[in-house]
This record gives sequence, structure tokens and C-alpha cells, in this order.
Amino acid sequence: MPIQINHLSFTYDKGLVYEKEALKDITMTISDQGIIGIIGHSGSGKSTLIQHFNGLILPQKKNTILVDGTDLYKTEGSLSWLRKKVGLVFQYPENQLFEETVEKELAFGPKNLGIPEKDISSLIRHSLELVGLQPNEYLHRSPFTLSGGEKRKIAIADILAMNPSYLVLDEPTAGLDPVARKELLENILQIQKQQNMTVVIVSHDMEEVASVSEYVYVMSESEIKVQGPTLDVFSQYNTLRELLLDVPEPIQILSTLQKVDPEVCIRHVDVQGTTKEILSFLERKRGHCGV
Amino acid sequence: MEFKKSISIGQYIPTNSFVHKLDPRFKMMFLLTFIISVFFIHTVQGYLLLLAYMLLSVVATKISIHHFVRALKPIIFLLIFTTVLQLFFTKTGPVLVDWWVFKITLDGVYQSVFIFLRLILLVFASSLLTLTSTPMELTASLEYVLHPFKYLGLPVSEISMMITIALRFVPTIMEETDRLMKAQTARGVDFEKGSLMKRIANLIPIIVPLFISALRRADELAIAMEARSFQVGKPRTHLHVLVFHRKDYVFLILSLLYVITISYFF
Amino acid sequence: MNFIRFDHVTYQYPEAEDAIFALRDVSFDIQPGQFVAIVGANSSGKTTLGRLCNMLLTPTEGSVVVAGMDTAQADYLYPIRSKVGMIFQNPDNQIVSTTVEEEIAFGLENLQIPSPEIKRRVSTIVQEMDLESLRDRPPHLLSGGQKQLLCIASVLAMEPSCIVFDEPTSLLDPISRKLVLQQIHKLHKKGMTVLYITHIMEEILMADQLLILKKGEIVFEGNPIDAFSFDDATLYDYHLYPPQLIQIMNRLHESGVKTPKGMVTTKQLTDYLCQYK
Repeated sequence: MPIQINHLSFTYDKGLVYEKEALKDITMTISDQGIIGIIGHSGSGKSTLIQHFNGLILPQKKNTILVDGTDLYKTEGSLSWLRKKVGLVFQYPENQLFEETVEKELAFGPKNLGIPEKDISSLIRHSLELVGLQPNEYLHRSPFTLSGGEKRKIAIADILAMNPSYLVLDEPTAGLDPVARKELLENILQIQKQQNMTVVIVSHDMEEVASVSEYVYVMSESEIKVQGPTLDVFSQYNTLRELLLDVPEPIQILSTLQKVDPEVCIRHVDVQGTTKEILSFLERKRGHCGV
Repeated sequence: MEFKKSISIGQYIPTNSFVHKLDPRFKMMFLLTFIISVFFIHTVQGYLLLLAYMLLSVVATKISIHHFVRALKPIIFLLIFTTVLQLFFTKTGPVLVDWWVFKITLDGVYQSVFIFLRLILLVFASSLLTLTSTPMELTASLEYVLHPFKYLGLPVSEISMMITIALRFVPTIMEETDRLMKAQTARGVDFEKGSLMKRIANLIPIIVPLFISALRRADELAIAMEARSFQVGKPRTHLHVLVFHRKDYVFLILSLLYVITISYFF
Repeated sequence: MNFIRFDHVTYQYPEAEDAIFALRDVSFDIQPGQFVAIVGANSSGKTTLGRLCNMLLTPTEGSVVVAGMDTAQADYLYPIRSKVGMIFQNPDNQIVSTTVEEEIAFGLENLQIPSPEIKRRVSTIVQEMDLESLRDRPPHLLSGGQKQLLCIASVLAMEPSCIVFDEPTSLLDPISRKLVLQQIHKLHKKGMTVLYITHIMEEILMADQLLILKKGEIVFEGNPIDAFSFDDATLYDYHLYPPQLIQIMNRLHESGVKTPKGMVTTKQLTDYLCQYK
């Protein structure tokens, strides 16, 4: 049951003087693939794209977006089913908190979707546990007394409480310090495994995307420029540089060494693997210089 | 939505016209004079003259009349309502149409046309000011006009600062509201459907976060202002000081001419 | 000659119920023209330290002296705030005016500088920072990086000798971040004293000197690169996450490849590796 996107284009304010083409001929399939990354700068179209996933923006043509087989073009009736199926967590999601207690806050989404009262309690407890917070400690507290990191977790739990099949996160670690960032990414990996849902992470931080995604789309100027398994995409160092994207340091290093010694494998984005690869490079070099 | 980014602060549209270059204080005072004069006209010729002046002014601004017409949008119902009211409920004068419950008199026709024109003239006149003056100019004019009240204890400079800050944040807060609406829609809220009560309740997840964000913003803003030596109550100088130029005196003469000719029709 | 001297400074927030000290007996000097980075966990006291530098706060105990002026004396308020400017994390929450040039003029208006002089300084800054095309633009039509540049311009107009940056890029995207960092680098090259509070590790490498704060105390004062050579447990404790490049070099050191000190870019490393014997 994938999200199928076929030649999707989108123009803001079509026909007006300041119309802007935000998406040009995008084709992608989001199905059970673990964690997918969408990389791009502001203005690349990535925000517009993800708003199509859950129907916040509806397509302007037939057959361009199908979620679970349903064409979103001129779809009738309430879109609650779509909001439930595709959970969208915006940037700085903690800004949307408004209820008096965490319990009410988490129940908000499920209530709006018409989920029966008796099921909500277990849903919200489970969603808190998913983000690593103890229900008994947090349910009765006011969201506004929590730390920044905790607030963000609650905001993510808000969406998880709706039990989505897809979780789309827009810059999930924006503004977080390195400790909190690492924690959150690990958390996302866990959530994906536990719930067996498809996760889409949108980010301009390549290191972050590299650490969790298996498949990556790189967007620029409203188009998909590169796509593929993460390491394949990241080894296209020059293309990525041209798109003004900061390739993670391990890949920068290994790409440069590969030019000198084609036997260098760009198979790693982590420190350990890269160090090993560098040491092998030096071994081979020493071997060539001979003794 | 991206399009909101193209809204500038206030309604100012920059063109290089004579009207734009005029001192905003004069513009403001002329606006007042014009508005008052509109209420004293009761003849067809008078209205024709007013219309002529208005059209002349609009042309002088080099701004498309489309923008002036757009300013009527918020009062379109009021416009139609009052015009129709005058048309059907004026009892005086010779009767023109008498059908069923509807009675239209000649006076009624005149009155409805007059009120229609009056409203349009008022809106166009205000637009003349707001389309040709930047928010800073308007605030500075206001500060000038309120200046004497400072001696009565009115914190004129502070009021002026508050207005500027409010204007500056309108687009920013609109963007924030837009983001919040999207975020809450993603949690199943439907802002467009449901009973009136439900729709009002749906505003709480927007208003509460906006409020909290505004409070935090005010706090941070105050600190950032203090860090640049701002102190409430202490006098400040300005980047642009309003100065009367020769063209402003020309305008003054033109305005006097206007007042003289129009009062002929009082 | 110290530009800023902290002498046994302790600070306690007056509203704090349980008497938490934000800073405890902190002493250090900042020399003119230095670029000092300050890191620490969220409640380490780094923001408090920044605010003590330009009299937004005054010490509960001890003294802060800026260019020979003691911050405890109220008379020095304007002179100190002219000498030490501050840039905060959220660019939107610093801008009060409706156009770029008005914002740059803001501080000068507060100092009651006459209009012609304000105009002159605004023009100079606009030219220096390449903002001419944005002069009349309202702030909401600027990118995050441009907004932060505007905040810097507004502070620069007051001709400070030192600028304290409190996490200026943490809310910005990479392109905006680069823009701002370039500008800060330029300022430092021209002699500006820079105090840079951050949690972004790559930015620390720009500094001459690093201060690490933990629970209100200074636990490290020295070269940023030296800090990254601590063991993992200490690094974690100090909330320091070495950039991947530094981690790789540390591991190479462990394996016998002694990369020279001071290398901070991947190019430097790869050049070294290609020449390695």
C-alpha cells in the first residue's frame, strides 16, 4: 500500500503575477522501505512535496498522487483517513502544543479522527513509550513545564498517537544540540522497527540523513536530481557539491582518496569504517613505495 | 502558503509619483479636509467635482485603479446594503416606481447614488494615503500630530514605537498562523466544517500557541532592544526626519484651491 | 590589556526558588581581537555569561570589567552597550523595524545621534555588508541568514569593539549559516573581539580560545583542538561532540598515524594522507 507519485507538478498562485513553480515532474514511490530520506535546501520543493503526502495540498491533475490506490485529485469527503494514515510532523513541532495536560494534548489527534474513547488511553500511553517517556510521569503534567527536548518528543508522540502507517518528519532535529540530536535519531530508528512503519525524513543535514536512511532522494530547484540507496547517492560527491550540499566529512575524505587510489571503497559514513578504509589506503601506498 | 510572502507591510505600493514624494503630514491633513468636505455636498454637480478631483489624484499616483477598487472589498456588503436601503426607504419626493411593497422615489434615487459615491470616495481617499505612504511615514506623521499631547503626559514616542513593531510583525504572525493551521490540520482538525461552536473551538489550538509565542517574542525583543541601548522614556532621534519641501507648499496651494472651489457647492 | 575581565563572578537569578547559581566564581580574561568560543550544556551558564558582558545582567558577586569600566556602575550603561554588542539566537525576535535601513538605524536612534550622522553610518554599513539591494526590504521578506546579517549590521552601526553571539546560527539552514559565519569571520579578521556561544562543534574550530562551562564553572580554558582530544567519557560529560573529521584523526593517532596538530579541514587531512610516508 504505497504512496505513489507520478509526474507531480505544483505551482503556487497559478495564473497570478507571482506564481511559483514549486514542484516539477516528481515521480517517486514510498512503500515499505524502512527509512527514506529527502534532502534539499529551502526552496528545493521538499516542504511542498511532503504537504502533498497527507493532503494538505491537493494535486492539480489526475493520477499524480495515489495513496493506497486512492487518487487524491478531486477526492470527495473528509480527509481524516489520510491524516491518520500519513502522520506529518512539522519543523519545530513543539510550537503547536496548546493543551493543559500531556494527556489531553496526545488525545487531541485521535479524538479529531473519531477514534473511540476506550481505545485512546492505550494509544497515548503507547505513543509516550515510543518516544521514550514514562506515561505515569508525564501524562498529568502541563506541556509548558517541560524542557525543549521533552516538548519535541510530546509533539512527535502527538502524531504517533494517531497510529499512522507513514511517519513524515520535516527537519526533526532542527535546533537540537548534539546530544539530543543523536538521541532523537536513535529513537526514530527504534520507532520505525517497533511499529514497522515507513518513515520519511526530510532534512538539509546530510550527515543526519546518512546515519538513518536506506534510500535517499535529493531535491533541488523543484526537481529530484539524484535518487538511490544512500551510499550510492553519497558517493556522487561532485554532483552533490554542485547542488551546494555538504557531503559528510567521511565521504569527502574517501572520495578524494579514491581519485588517487581507485581501490578505496566509499562504503562507509561512520568514523570507524572510514578510519579502517584510510588505514588500508596507507597500507597500499606503503606497499607501492616498496621497501 | 508561499504567496503570503509577497504581502508587504501595510498597503504601500512604490511608484515614483508626485503624491508619493509629498510630506505625509500634509497628505494626512488633506485627507481629513477631503473627508469632511464629502459630508457637506448635496448636489449632483458637487459630486461630479469630487469625482473629478478623486480621479485626478488617482492618476497622479501612477498606481493602477485596480488597487483602489480592491480596497472596497471589505465593505462591499455595507455599500450594497446602504445603497439599497436609501433606494427603497426614502419616502420624500415624486414617486417613480410603485410595485407591490416597493416604492422608489426620485429623492431615493439621488440619495442612494450619493451614499454610494460617498462611501467610494471615502475609501478611495484613505487608500490614497495608505497606498502612497510607507508605514514609517504614517507613523512619523501620527507622532507629529500627537506631539503636543506629550506635554499632557501621553507617551507619544512609545505609542509610535508600538505601532511600528505591530506593523512589522503582522506578516510574520500571519506566516506563523498559517504554519500552525497546517500542523493542526495534520492532527485531524477541519477548520472549515462543523457547527459555529465547533469552528470557534477549533481556533483554540491556534490561538494558544500564538499567544505563547507572542509572549516569548515580546520578552526576547525587549532584551534585544535594551542591548542596543533602547530605554523607555528616553528621547530618540530618527533616521528620516520629516521636512517640508517646496513641492509640499505647492500641494498646500492646490489644496486651498480645492477647498475654495468645493465650498462653492456646499 | 584586557578587554573584558571576569573577576570571581557569581550570578544567581533573582527569581530562582532553589537558589541555583547560574555562574559560580568564574574568572577569565578576554584580550582585544580574540575569538573566544563558549560551550556547555543548556544550563551550564553560557547564556548568563554572555549577558554579563554587556550589562544586561550584573554580577551577584565579583565584578565584570569591560574596557576598564565596571558593569556595576549604572553610569557606564550606554558606553558599555556601545562597546559590546549582542546577537541572539532568533533573528525574528530582534528586528523591530519595517525596513532594513530603519533597523540598522535603530541603535543609533537610541543613542540620540543626529539624523545626518545616522544616514552616513547606515550607508557605510549597507555598503560594507553588501545590503544595498535590500535597503527598503521589509524583514519578513528576508531569509534567515539575511535577517541575522541585518541584526549584525544593526549592532555594527553602533561601532562596537566586541560582539557576543549567543547561538546565532542554531535556527538557520546550512546556506544561511554559512552566510552568517562568513560575515563573523570577516569581522574578526578586521579586529573585532568575538565571544561566540554555540553548541555546533564545527563552529568551535574557528576560535582561538575555547571555554567549556559545566554547571556554572569553567572546566576548560584553552585551544579548541586540545579539547577534542579528551577521552570519550569526558567529552560526553562536557557535551562536546567532536566533528567526524576530528574523531577520524583521533583514531588515526591511536593507530599510529600522527596527524599534525591544527588540521581542521578535510582537504588538509587528505593532502597530508597523500603525502604520507
